[in-house]
Amino acid sequence: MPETNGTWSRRAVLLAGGLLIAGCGGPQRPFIQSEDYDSGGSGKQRLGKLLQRRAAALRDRDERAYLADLDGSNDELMRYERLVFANLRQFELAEVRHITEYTTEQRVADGESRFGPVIRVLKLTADAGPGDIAPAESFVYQVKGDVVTGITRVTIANRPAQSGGAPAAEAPWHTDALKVVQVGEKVWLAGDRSVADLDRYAAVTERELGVIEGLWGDRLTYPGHVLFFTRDKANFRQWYGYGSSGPAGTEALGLQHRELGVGENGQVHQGEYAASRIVVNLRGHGAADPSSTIRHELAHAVSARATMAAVGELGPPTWAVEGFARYTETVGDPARAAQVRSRVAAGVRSGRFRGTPPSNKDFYGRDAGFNYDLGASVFSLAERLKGRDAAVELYARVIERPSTGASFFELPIFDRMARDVLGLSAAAFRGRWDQFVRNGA
Amino acid sequence: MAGRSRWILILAAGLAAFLAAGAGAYLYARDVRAGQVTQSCGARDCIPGVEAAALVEALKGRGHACENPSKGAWSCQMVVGSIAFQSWVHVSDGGVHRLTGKVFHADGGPLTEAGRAYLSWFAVLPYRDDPAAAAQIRDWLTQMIEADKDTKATILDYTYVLVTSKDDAVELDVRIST
Repeated sequence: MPETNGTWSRRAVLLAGGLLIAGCGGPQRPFIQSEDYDSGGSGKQRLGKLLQRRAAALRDRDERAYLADLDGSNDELMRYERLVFANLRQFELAEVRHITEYTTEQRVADGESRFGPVIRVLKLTADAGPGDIAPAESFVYQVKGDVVTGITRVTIANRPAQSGGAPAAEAPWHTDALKVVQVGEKVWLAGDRSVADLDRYAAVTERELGVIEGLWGDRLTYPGHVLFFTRDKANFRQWYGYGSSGPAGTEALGLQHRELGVGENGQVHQGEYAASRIVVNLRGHGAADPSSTIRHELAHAVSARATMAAVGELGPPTWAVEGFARYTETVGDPARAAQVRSRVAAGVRSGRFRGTPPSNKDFYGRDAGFNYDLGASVFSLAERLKGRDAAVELYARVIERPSTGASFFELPIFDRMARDVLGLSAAAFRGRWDQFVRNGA
Repeated sequence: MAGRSRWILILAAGLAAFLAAGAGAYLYARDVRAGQVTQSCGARDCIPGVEAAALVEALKGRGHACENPSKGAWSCQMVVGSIAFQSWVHVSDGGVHRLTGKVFHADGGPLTEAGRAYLSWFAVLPYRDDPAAAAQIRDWLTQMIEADKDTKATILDYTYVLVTSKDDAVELDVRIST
């Protein structure tokens, strides 16, 4: 800086030439002179801008913009991103944004960097969480300059190695071309290539949702529901990562998947599920009508937001969650009710009934079928004692509480529930239930 | 994880209050400095409109303990949890000709957002009424901290030296180039 009386006008210096020119007629120099500084931004800053463009493109359903920052010579990447875009554009997106709060940069060869985890908040209009909590999925981006050369999904299988507790990207829209059908205002059905008759399930789903919503009333629920249908065994295994773990297994007829959401900074919010998804295994039904499965999973979905968000012994009693869903299958369906009663009676005769509801630990074990029906008997009895609304209210109260591992009926909190909802002490209800089950429910 | 979150919240809240007070303390000086890059202060050039005593008082008012052992420079420190925020204010004829901010993590953890904001506050002080310049300086600082390397930059009349390689600390020194 030339010597003066010490009164240079900084604003004049900065404005005359867009931060570049230091004084009239003087030599040009950058505002910040540093060997290490790139005024175009750091790698992470560039990534942030790139992610903003991609989120906006997805919101605007602009495929060209969505693909613009990708390496067009990478066929696999282009195919994958076209697939995801084509799938997601069929849903109603309430929020799309990226979080890089915990993203770290790992430099690889030739000026290329790997960034992970990149969290993408992807909230459908069907989803809801407390405050700004929204469902999300995570990726690892590989970037060279301003070009994305690779995107890797964070899955349950690779998550520990790549990005700690980041939410996994296991949704069906990552693996298969989906046809999505909106039914009414708030239901989306999606089928893979194995489901040529997706429209067939629209009326069924709407009808079954009507039954469940009629039962659930104005209690806390989601704005909408998303159901995926497949006849592909591999897809039923891979979607949401239940193939090798979890209760569904490959022979299940359907599953309901609950997702925790993330907050503004990407931290997982443990208090309440932010989204619910259903997968219906049409292959498992063969030629049979899947309406009972759809109703069962919708019972989970409609009440999932009010279900305490924890699993195992810390989670709500599985006998209540599965039992209520099974109970709803019997509502307005005497044949189904008779079938459930008959299986309970058979279970009692074969010595499987031990006078208490099954524990979470054992629920999906050898006696899983009986356990579903036994759980349903709790709500069938509640209905018989005080009516259908009481059965639903009892369920709504129970699923707010952890199972604790002990017999739920022995807990003081259950005594309060039984008195409030059914007008009986827990001990009296337990006696009535024991008698009810032994007499054929 | 929950404990770490609480720490971040405490630090962020404390620092926000500190920065707000800092901004208030310098409002009076706006007329005096009227867009100068530097101003004469005895035998040196100083940051326009920044009085050393007012700066030190602002630091004290927000939890720093300050001392002036050499008469030439004030040394101030504030400890929050396992993090120490330190600063040195070099004085000439009542003005400030050099500023150093340092954030030390006793737990060996990385620089937090609060720590970055602390250093950023010192970094933009000479350009505090110029949003475009301040934004570019913040960008430079962010990029250099993320790169985690020692570096030096010349920003008009000022020399900025960032040291990230020493003992769980990040230090930024801002002085008027001679």
